[in-house]
Amino acid sequence: MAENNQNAVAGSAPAKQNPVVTKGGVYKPPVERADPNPYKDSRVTQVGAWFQERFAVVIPVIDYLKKKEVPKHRLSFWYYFGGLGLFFFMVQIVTGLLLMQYYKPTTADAFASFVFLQKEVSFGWLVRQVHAWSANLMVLMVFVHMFSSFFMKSYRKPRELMWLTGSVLFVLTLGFGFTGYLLPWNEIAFFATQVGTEVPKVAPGGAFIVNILRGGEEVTGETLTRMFSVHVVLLPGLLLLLLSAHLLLVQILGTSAPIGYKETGRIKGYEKFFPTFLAKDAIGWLIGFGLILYLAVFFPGPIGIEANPLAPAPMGIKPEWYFWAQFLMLKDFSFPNGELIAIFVITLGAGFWFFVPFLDRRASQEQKSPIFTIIGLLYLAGLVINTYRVFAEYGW
Amino acid sequence: MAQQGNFKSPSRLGELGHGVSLSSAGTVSEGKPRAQGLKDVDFERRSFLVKIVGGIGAAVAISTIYPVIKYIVPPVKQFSNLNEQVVGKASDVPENSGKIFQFNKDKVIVINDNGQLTACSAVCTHLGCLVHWDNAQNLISCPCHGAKYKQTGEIISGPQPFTFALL
Repeated sequence: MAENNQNAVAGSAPAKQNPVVTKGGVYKPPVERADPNPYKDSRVTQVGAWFQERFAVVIPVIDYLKKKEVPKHRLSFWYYFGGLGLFFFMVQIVTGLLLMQYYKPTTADAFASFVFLQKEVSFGWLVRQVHAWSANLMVLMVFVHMFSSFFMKSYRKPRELMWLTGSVLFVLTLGFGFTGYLLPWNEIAFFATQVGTEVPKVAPGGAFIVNILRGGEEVTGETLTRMFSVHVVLLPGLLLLLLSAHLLLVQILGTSAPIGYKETGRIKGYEKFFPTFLAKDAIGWLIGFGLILYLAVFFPGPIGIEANPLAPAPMGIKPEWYFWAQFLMLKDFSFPNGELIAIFVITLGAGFWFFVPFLDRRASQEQKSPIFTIIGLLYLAGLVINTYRVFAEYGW
Repeated sequence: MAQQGNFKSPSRLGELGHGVSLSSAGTVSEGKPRAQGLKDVDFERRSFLVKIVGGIGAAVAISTIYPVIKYIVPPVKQFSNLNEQVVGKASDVPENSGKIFQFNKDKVIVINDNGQLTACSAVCTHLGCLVHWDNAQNLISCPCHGAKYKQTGEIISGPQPFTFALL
């Protein structure tokens, strides 16, 4: 229906110069259409011209992207971590798809297929270890990216939506970690999911949520099916959607510089995002790729023991490192209703964190807001100290 | 064919119909230039259309979401409710150890403490991990968050809110 779309520049109908008077006396006014291809005189290859004729509308978009610049200053180093998170996510998509070729998400087959994959399939061990390590590094990069954006106050006006989409991406990343953890169907996975899905129960009405998460009252094969479908269908879909928004916003709004850097002349210059910054990003990605391979080969994760719903939880069980702080809170709060208070504190803290662009008014007026820097440091210190305490008690 | 325009009533279409193909959508009668055409658009009618489509859409959405929510809530499993059940031989539980058995819908730990058998729930009241019998300390302990219970199910220490049901 392009001929009825007044906005279509590539419409095939040529503009009619003369009014056409038909038999019925209906007047057809001249329709003014934009030149379907205003770039037709530009020098491009034959293939380029083919696309240009059809998609001339994207040329201004490409020109716009070419203009994007990244400020260079003392803290520019921290700009690379979002891109690294994206790189590890791409590794996850590729390795995840490879793992799915052999993995069977049922209680009877999950663990066996997981072992088969690692012991029989060529390079199966590598694919699984890369998936596991890349997941850890993706979470780590997302943490670093989030805290560096926080301390540089990049969330301030006009980038509030970037912070909000980023926060949701952070939650989705943790969701990936949590749902993927059960899939090997080994003992540690079983009890990690048992505890994780039990948590909503402490809140009123939580039993209903637990029932939905588990597909029943207990962690069973139904839970495995649910976690699998969420891990490989729902979360990737949501993540791609939000990631598109997040990346579109950074293209439109540009990279944020810390407050006052522009005014005090601390920005040493700007570099083009395409291709200069992207090329530097790619160096980081290559280092990241090397790091994954190194960790996968020299520090492979364990295969574990098949989950048995009638065996006691293994001694020294603990979640993945990125849940250690919350794990310790659940342990520490041993007074009556401790879990409920722990969940409440975590939810409140997360809510405050989420809405910080709207709470930090000073930053939005390009004024320094040391209170929020201190709040950020307290969050970071809480996470690091509690994580270290778990490390000190349980080891790696 | 999308109707671009500004026909106040469908009967105008009839007038158009004399030898004129309907693909002349977007034309305005009596020589009105297109730019002024919007003046005659009946916005009231258009918003009525939006209300109708929106209303029906909302009704369809609700009646679609309801079965979806019902679908993801798993059906309740039926358990037989026995008061007594032979779960295994006493010799299945070696001396000074504990073993977990399924009893109705519950998981139960049978503890053999120097030949004396006792049974209580095996599901930690804190966050639902399965406990084990710690023979060295002569107590039931949960590896997940460090809950400790006496053999009788009473709380010794830890984050757990309730005692165990003793069987």
